[in-house]
Amino acid sequence: MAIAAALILTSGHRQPGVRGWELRRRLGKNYPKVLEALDSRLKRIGLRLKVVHEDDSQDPDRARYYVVVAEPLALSDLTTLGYSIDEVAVLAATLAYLYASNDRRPYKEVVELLETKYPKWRVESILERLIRRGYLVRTEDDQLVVGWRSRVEVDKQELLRAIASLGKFPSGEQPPQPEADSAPSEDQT
Amino acid sequence: MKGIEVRREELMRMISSLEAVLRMKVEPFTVEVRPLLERLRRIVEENRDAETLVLDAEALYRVSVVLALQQKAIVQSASSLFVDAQIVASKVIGSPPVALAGVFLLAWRPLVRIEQVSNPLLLRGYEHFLSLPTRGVVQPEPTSGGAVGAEWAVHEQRFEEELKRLLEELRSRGDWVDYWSFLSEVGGSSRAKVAYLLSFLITRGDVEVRYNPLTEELRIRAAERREDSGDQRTSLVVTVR
Repeated sequence: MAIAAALILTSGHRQPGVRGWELRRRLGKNYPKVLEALDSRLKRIGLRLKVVHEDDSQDPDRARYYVVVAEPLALSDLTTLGYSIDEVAVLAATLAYLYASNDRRPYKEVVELLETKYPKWRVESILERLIRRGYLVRTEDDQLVVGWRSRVEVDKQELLRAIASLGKFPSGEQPPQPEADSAPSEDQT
Repeated sequence: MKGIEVRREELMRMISSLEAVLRMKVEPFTVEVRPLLERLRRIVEENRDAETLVLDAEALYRVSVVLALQQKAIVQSASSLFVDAQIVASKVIGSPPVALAGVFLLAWRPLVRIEQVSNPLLLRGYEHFLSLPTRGVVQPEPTSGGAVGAEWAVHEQRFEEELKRLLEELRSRGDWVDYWSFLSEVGGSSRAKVAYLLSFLITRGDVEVRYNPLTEELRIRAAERREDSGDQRTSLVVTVR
């Protein structure tokens, strides 16, 4: 279990996480059982294992495994993590817009939407930072696409549900917090 | 006979319109599949000649691709809970940034990763470093000190002799010679060394270079007379294949 944790948490690639076949090579064919045990251990300290399938196949060997925070964070935690509220607001708006448009939209169009809240220079600088952090990708044909990190960290349906229910809560008040999942989450991208 | 032609034309029109939908990536639901399939069935029932069947199969293939696109669109819409971009845009415009950040936190589970080097890892790296073969003695910087200066002068003199030998070799060839052939003939297994020496001679103006961009031919020859004035020296980058 310690080896599995070390492999998943300290992966030296540019993109963190580790692929199933890499875990199989190190831990043997019973690695899913090891991961299950690791997940239950992680939950005790507020973390959990996240499995992201990168294609249509549900093959565990081809999936990528990450460790994520299990419970939602509070607004006050953002500055501790090095994010500003504006950055997170821009990320929320952009991701929701992309998710509702098959995961891609022209960069210019996204900037126009965000300009309703912030000046253009601020929007572009935040988007640049989010692209650098892997949340978004700007393609050669100037489209903004959902990045690998958003696929790992953000629950698409939860975000869209929360965005759709935005007007139903008094301004500034946070909607009710969702309950944490009990099983390891699986996300297909 | 005329009826058959009309039906074939109809099939070809269907194929081209379906192709346009696929190529231009328009909304796949603009194609009404059921009436299209009924019409295809009627055409096949009326004409069973080979050409009609081939056209029918081609149209059917395109219909199946459109169906696949429709299925994909439904899956995508369902996964985004049928919330469309307009709704999202209106919510974004009508909500303060703090509210947007608040709802994002409900869906956000930040990644946990460790970025640190451990002592065992450092130790393994150090062991690996020690196990690497030595690449050769590093030449010390030339200083004004007597022994080191003398050693450096010997190296320089040896280098000059090699340059001179190479220049004589090139001069003995007479006219223009192909650069790559010269490297192979003179350099043998140490072509890189000859190329390195040649680059010095070219920089000094002892060797002339002529490059034909059309044939990509690179030719060299020994300069007839070397000008010593440093102002006229030129540099040329020569790659070694």
